[in-house]
Amino acid sequence: MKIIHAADIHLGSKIESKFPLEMTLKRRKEILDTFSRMVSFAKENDVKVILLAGDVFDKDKPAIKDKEFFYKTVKNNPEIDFLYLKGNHDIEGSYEETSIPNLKTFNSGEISTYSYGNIDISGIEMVNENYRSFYSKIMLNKERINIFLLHGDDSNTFGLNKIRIDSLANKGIDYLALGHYHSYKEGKIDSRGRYAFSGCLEGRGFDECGEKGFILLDVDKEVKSTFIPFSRRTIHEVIVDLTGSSDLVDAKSKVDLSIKDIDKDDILLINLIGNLPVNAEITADDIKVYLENRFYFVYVKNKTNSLIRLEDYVNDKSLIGEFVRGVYASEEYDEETKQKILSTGIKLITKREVER
Amino acid sequence: MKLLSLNIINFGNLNGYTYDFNENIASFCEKNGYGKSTLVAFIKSMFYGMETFKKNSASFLDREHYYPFTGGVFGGNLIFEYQGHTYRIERTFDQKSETNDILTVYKDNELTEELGNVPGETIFGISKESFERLIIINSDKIEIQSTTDVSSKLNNYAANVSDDFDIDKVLKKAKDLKKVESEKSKEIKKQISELKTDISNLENIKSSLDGKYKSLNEAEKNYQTASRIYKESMEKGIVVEQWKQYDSLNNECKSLKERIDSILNRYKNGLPTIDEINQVKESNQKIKIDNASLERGSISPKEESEYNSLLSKYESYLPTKEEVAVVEEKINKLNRLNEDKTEIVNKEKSTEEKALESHFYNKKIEEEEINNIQTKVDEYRGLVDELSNINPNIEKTTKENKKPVNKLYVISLILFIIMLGAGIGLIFVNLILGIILSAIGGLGSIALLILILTSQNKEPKTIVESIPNEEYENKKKDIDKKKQEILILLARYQYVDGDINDLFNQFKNDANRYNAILEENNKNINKVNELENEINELDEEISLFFNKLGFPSMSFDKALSTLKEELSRLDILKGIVNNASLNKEQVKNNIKSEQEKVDAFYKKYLLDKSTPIEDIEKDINDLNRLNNEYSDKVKARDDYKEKNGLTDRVAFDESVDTDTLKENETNSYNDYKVIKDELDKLEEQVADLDDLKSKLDRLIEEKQTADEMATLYENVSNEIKKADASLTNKYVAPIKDRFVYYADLLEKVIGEKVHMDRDFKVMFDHEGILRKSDHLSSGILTICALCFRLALLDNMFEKDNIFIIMDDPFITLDEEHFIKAKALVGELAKNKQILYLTCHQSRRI
Repeated sequence: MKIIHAADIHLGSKIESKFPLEMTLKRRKEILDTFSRMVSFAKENDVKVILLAGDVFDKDKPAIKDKEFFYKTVKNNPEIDFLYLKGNHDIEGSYEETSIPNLKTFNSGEISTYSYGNIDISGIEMVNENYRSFYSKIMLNKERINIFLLHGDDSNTFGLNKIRIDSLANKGIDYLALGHYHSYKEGKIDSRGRYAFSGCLEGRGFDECGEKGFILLDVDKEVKSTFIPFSRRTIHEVIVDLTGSSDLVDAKSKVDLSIKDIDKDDILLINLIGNLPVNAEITADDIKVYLENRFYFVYVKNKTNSLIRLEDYVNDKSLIGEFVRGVYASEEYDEETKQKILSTGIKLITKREVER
Repeated sequence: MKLLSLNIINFGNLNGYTYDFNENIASFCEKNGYGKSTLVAFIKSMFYGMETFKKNSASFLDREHYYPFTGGVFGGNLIFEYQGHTYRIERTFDQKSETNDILTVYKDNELTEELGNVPGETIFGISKESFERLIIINSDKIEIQSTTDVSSKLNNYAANVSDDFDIDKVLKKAKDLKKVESEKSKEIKKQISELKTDISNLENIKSSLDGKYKSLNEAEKNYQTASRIYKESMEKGIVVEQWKQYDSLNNECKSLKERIDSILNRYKNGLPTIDEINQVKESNQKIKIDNASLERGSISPKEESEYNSLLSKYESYLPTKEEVAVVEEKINKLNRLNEDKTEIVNKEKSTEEKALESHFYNKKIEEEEINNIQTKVDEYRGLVDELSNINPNIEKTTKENKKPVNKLYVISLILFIIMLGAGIGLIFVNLILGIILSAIGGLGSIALLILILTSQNKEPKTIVESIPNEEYENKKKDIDKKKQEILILLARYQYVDGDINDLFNQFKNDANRYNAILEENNKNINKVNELENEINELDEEISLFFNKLGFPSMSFDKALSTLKEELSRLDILKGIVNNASLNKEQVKNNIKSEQEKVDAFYKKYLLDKSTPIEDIEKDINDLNRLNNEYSDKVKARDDYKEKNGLTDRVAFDESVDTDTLKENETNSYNDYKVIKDELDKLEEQVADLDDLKSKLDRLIEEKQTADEMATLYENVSNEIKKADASLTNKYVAPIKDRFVYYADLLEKVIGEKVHMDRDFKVMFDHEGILRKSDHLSSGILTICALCFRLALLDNMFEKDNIFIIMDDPFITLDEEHFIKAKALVGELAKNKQILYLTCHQSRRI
């Protein structure tokens, strides 16, 4: 039997604040669309069950339109069972439809189990009252294939939204379907079972970079899992070291080299780093203008430094030498601030453009 | 630091040129074009190299300027003494690129890299530009109009900056940038504050959603319950009706069965066959004939006449008993069909049908017509929805026009000015009165001017007024227009006076119901037609049969009765004729024999002999028919049960009114819809919350950046100020000391004692009184400036007594001052290496 493990859809979610408004609106629609595409994928590939390991909705009070979208998608696909475990973001309900036969839910009181042939799919929602005690409630029939759903980060301690993988060892779990962590990750529980985070379906900001998608499970006598990258577009964080670049041409070629494999529909955060010569005139805007029509969206952060070394100015008899020595001698500033003061001051003295 | 020699291979128009700096003063007096500037450029390029040729550069760069016209190696070497060692810088230059230049430095004839890529910067600690400004002295650079220029140029000399560098401008720029950032921060702070208020309002709305969601969930549950009850009731009602129908069919079956059983009860010993009955009937007929023969003996003339008449009537065609039975069956069937037809034709119209007929004039309402009105109603509903999203009023913001200057102010101002004028005039006549009047006039004028200017500078007021929204009004008109269109359409069917939605729903329901009735009626008409066809066919067949027998026109029932009676009479008369030849005994034996057969029949089936065989025959025929009917009915009943899936009977409260349940369902849906619509609107407002929060994050970040930048510019400004002060402090006292040294020299050569204060202001001692430098001639000032420059150089290059290059510095001096300057240079050369270049014999030293 084929099963999809997905989580952290975050329907109706807040989108990266650095995106322009129209892009924010479009991104929200793309998240809905990717969820629909995943369900279509399930239909086309004879998937019987979709596991939603928490945070289907983003907010404590999801909007009715997002809930209706979700319920409609579920109702329109009666041949697929949706096993929906609430996460920390959708634990507080708003509008709820309760009588959808193929929408099966979990609760925080007891472990709920749904059976499909030789497979038992169980889960429990984690709340303040049970985050320590629920481990002892897990008693599975070890003769069957056991899939277990939880929502929380893997951790070495007990806590809300924290899961101690070692405390789940030897409980007969074959596959632990997790949500909360927004990137694909997997590991071993014990000699029998594995755990995996499917990650979210779409990245929503620069803190959710990399491939996003879901996990396809093929369950027979054992559970085989494959991560399926599925997002409409990927968010990348690219670090470009411009050390030694003295002009924009050189900087552009270094940027080009770093982004050559990135799809044009993707979203990029480019961090420019490194130490530039004091007279180098390379700004974040220059790079942004250079790239903005080549990708869906590009945000450039200039973290480069104009490294101004004291030893280069020891014998400098000029105002600049005096300025550099004075700033270096000052105890008011940390090293980073000193470099900023020096870089800006030299640019002002030499009448060059000052970048914010 | 001392230059020892230079060797030019090729550089500008100099080639194969060597010069040894043997004397402390190296004086070159050559005509223009000889290569003085080339020599200076060569020395400079040996220390600092040359910039790469740039195709699009506006300026004429040294590399391009001094590239030898004749070709060959472009460069040479320079030997000098520095910190007790002899250095040789060898350089060759590429025509275009700096990267292809070759630099080699020797220290005491050994290769060395200790002077780095730019030996000039290592040795002098100044940039190429500062070298040009400090070391190379020409007439432009020391010509100054006052000593204030001297102090302002200190930084230019000392700083590694451009010629037009102005510390005040730099500090102003830093200040301006800080101001821009501070104002930006202030503006963002305001936006943040407004945004926080908006967010707080939306958060309040959001927190109020909890209760509404609860109400919505309850309303949704209520609606689901009402809907379920209605649906169940409807389903139950249907099932109950189906069971009723089933029961009705079952009762018919039972009734048939009872009738069958009632017949069967009369035949305890089994059922006689038709053949047996026919045999009994035949025996009875024979007995009847034989008895008639015994009674009469022979046929009477009347009977003979009757017999002959009947024989003659049926001579051509005598139907068999089977044929008569078939006709009888047909007549019975014909009668039944006529009854069915009459029942349909005579069926009365229901009250509902009559009422609907009056609305729809006996005509079917086409689907297209209903859809057309439906579309218009949908459009109407859409417009009403749109209207609910438009504010009836909008706020209009206008700015009040500036008020014209108050005329009273102007008149008063003129009066005060006149008073001022008069006061001034009066001063010459009466001083005190004049002053008082002038003071009143002056003060009054100033006060009024301030009043007028203040009133004019006031920002006009912004007026916000609420005016009707044109879009709202237009939408209302559209709605009225659409409503009118719909009302006209509905009025055709007499649906008037009421809510447009209710009217339309009533129309639609009635139209659909009436169409269903019309359809049913059509079915009945078809059924009647079918019956008539069948009736006509039977009528024709039966008529044909009786026509064949020559029967006159009469009812089929009567004709059949006559036929049966005549055939029976013919049989009897035929028996009498046949028995006439037999004797009585034989006839009696025949009667006995036939009677025995009849008796055996009754005995066999335990029947009362008094029961007429015709009744028995009827029973058997009825039984056959009833059995067929019963089996058809049972099949119809079972099929009906199976078709409708009737398994278990359901309990049903007949008193429950489904209309009420439907109304409950509608009401609960409307309750749910009201809450949902309200929530939709609130959610629409709250939907902006995320975007506002994102914007707030962005603004906070922007404010932080602006604050950081403002602090940065402040720090930069402070540090530059400190550097400037430090630089000044570093050079002021030493420069002043060295200036005194040169001033002493000056005194020797110009006879004036020159002083310099902390601000580099130059004054001279004239007959014991210090006078401002303004009283000095420009020529003397130029020489003072030279002294200042020398003092500065002495301080900057304290350890290494650096050479200076004088490129025709005294060209503007008159003869008197040149002589003094020449003397000064001569004094200087005692302690300093000087390259003195001039193209004027008169300025030769």
